[in-house]
Amino acid sequence: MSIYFQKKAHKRTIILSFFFMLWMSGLIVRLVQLQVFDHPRLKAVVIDQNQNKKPIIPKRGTIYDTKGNILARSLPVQSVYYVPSKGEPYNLKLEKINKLKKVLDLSEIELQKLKARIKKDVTFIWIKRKIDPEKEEQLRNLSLSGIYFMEENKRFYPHGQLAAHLLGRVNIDETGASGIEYKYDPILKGKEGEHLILKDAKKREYRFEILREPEPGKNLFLTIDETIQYYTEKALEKAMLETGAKWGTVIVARPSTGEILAMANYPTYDLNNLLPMPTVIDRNQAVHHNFEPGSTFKIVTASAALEANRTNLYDNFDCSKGYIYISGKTIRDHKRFGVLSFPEVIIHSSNVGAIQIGQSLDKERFYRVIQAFGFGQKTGIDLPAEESGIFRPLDTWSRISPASLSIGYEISVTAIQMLQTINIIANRGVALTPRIVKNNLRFPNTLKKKLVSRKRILSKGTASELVSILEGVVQEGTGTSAQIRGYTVAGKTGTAQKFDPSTGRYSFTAHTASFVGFAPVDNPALSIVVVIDDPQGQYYGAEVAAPVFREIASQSLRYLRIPQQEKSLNTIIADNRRKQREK
Amino acid sequence: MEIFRSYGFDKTLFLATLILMVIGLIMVYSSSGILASEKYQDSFHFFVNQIVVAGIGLALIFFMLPIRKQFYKNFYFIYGLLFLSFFLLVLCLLMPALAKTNRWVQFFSLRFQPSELAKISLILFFAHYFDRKKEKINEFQALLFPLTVLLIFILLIIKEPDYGTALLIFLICSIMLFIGGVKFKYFICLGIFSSALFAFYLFQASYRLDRIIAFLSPTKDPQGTGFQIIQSKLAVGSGGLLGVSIGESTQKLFFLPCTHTDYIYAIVGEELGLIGTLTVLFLFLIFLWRGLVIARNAPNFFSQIAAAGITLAIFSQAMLNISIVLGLGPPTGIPLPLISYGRSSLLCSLFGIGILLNISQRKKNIIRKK
Repeated sequence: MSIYFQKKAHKRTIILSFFFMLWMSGLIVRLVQLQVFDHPRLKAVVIDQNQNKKPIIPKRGTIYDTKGNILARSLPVQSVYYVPSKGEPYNLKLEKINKLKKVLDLSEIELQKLKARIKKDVTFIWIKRKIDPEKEEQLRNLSLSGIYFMEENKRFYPHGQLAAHLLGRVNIDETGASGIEYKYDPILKGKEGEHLILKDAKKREYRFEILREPEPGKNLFLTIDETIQYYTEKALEKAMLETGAKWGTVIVARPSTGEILAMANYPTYDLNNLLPMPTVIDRNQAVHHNFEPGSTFKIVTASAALEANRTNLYDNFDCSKGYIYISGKTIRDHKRFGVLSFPEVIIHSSNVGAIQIGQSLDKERFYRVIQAFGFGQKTGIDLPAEESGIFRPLDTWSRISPASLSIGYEISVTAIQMLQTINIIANRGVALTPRIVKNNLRFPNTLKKKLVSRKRILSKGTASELVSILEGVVQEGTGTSAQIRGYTVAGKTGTAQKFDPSTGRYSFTAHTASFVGFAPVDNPALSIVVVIDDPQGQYYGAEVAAPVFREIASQSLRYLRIPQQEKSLNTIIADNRRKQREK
Repeated sequence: MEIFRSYGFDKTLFLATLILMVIGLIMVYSSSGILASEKYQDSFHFFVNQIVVAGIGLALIFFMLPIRKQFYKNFYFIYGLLFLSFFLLVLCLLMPALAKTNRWVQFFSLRFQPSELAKISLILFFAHYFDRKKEKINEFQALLFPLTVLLIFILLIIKEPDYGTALLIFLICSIMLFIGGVKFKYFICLGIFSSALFAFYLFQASYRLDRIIAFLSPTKDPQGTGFQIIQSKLAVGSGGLLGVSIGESTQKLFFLPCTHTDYIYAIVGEELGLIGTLTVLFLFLIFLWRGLVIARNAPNFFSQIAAAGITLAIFSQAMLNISIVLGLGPPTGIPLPLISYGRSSLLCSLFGIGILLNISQRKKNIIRKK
């Protein structure tokens, strides 16, 4: 009997076991599916939720001036962050934040943001990045739980607002946002490193590994001279305050090399204390702003005429009427002249004379010379956001275009283009690309591109004649206020009426006053362009811009120990001739 | 009658048990070390607890092996055990709640989960009852008593609440009924009745429903109820063929909850890979095979269905646990026998295996020869 039941139970056990083994085979299939076929996908998810790769921001390179003075550098500072512990009550967290607010002077907006982050149960909260060392100490003394510090690099500018526009800003992650910092960001920034953080499900880091060390950024040496930059900014600021102008810009260069020694803009700002500001202030007007140059452009007109051999220095132009009709438009001189020789037209800046000079040229030739000077094109200076000015192509010229152009209208230029023009004259006809970063021998690889190109624009004769004319401008013409005792100076003033887009006419009250010049005449050490936009009261370039030139040039020439020379070779030769004739 | 041969026990089954237990101990340490050092400042906390119970369990087995009399067949022993289980289960409900449940009884610092004891005592009780009533087993009156006992136990366990264990006990007892020779028509009745019962309690607690919904579509709430289902599959899958090697699991860093208890198999999968998971399955298969051999060779009906019951109970619990870990079933708190951390579970499993090994020493064919 028992055997019967045992056999039956055995049969049923076998049936059950068979069922369980089927079940087991199902599990094996599932295991193979998960661990073999789905393995790569699931592994990736696990890695993703467990690992975190973060870039290590390398130390940014230092920017030096030409003498090795530091203009911008990165220094380690502490950043504060907060990791709330799990289950910390909300009001305790708030209390902590309020304590932090007191020490760090957090604004209401920042506070609101932090509160929102806390409410969302975020596990990592930046309280404030890059704080002052004394605040760090105060915070450490509070010894709040969950508050940690992380070392980061912060950009410091030892001189605050010196060359602010030129150097430019960096953002919180040490990436260049404008100026040199932006243009040379790849060199300054270095190569980002990478670290690996392993975290558990409570977001606690339990392993920290550096996968790749960061490569620090390379240093940069500028052609800027801190001292000349300082002179320039001081002189510009003084003029701006005196004239109440909207903005002004000055560029100082060494003509023989194309190196920019100083570049200033006003209004300016403090790089160490960046506040929200209109983009107008942020812009580097020296390369960014297009304006109609006015009389300073007569240098180009005169060059074109001389180069074309249409006129010579002894031609006379009748300017006695004081105005000239061009296709129904009247263009006036600022005062009535008699009959002027070619140099005198430039020296006294006669519009009537300049238009007659322009008329003697054929259009095409005039066009080509303007183009050769580089108008309508970027100069190629190594700064971002350079404008190319507006120079209309020949086939869109109207009948009065040549006349307008001869006195510097119907064309927009940038300050750097005007500097380039005066450099061509100062270099006796040769154009060099302006530049701001030195080719550094210590870091030959940092700058691979050949930055400087030499190109002859004018014949040496033409250029020399223009040099003596521009010297005349300062000696006896409109530019007398640019004279510097002990040095010879050549230059040209400019006063342009600003075009008023609202009326569609040239304004009688808004002007652009400018001056371009160089010194000493024989062996130019400095060339300077000064542009003052919309000065109030006095508005002539001679009154507003030329004194800025004088101030910067006189200080800088002495600073550079340029030997004094009362008279230029041209003057001496001319004097000697006169003396011989008198004999 | 029966011939008793000392130490003629089934060494293969014992070895499989031992290996499973060693794997279990290693995995308990690996998966609980971090939790233990965080909770008790001692990474060995769970490991030491488990190894002590393993030692006690093994001692119990070696104590039971040479016993000549089938004490576990004794009426007083079986009903005593049954009543003890019942008493402890009631005591459970009277004890202060631990982690919002009344699953444990606590004497000083010793905690015990009576539902584990209930499993083995019910198996023995069913075996004993069927052995006595085997001729009348398909009469309703005869079935009424064991089914009432089962119902009381299940209700007590559901009240704890421990829905998963209640379900498991029902499954084990159904296996016992099946092996015992109960006709299929009773199974249909039993099925209908029990489905209604379990469905009733299923809808009583919303979290049970949530678990089932989460099981059907875990991505609906990946941070909530679907979390452990997703994380468990991730753990198993990320192990691949060979695993990330012992101790290197990242899922145990609180991504996957209950890694040393219900989800220990997921950590086996992650750290030891397919090799590890298949090894464990293979060991359970050996256990099943040897258990069935013991049952077939058992000297009497009681020994046979008790052996088969114990074997199938442990094996089916393992299959259930693994299915849940692999995302094939809704999560319920069922430990993996011999491997998961759990002192009551390990001790009761070893006690059952002790009985199984004791039975294995008695062979039918020897009787026949006489």
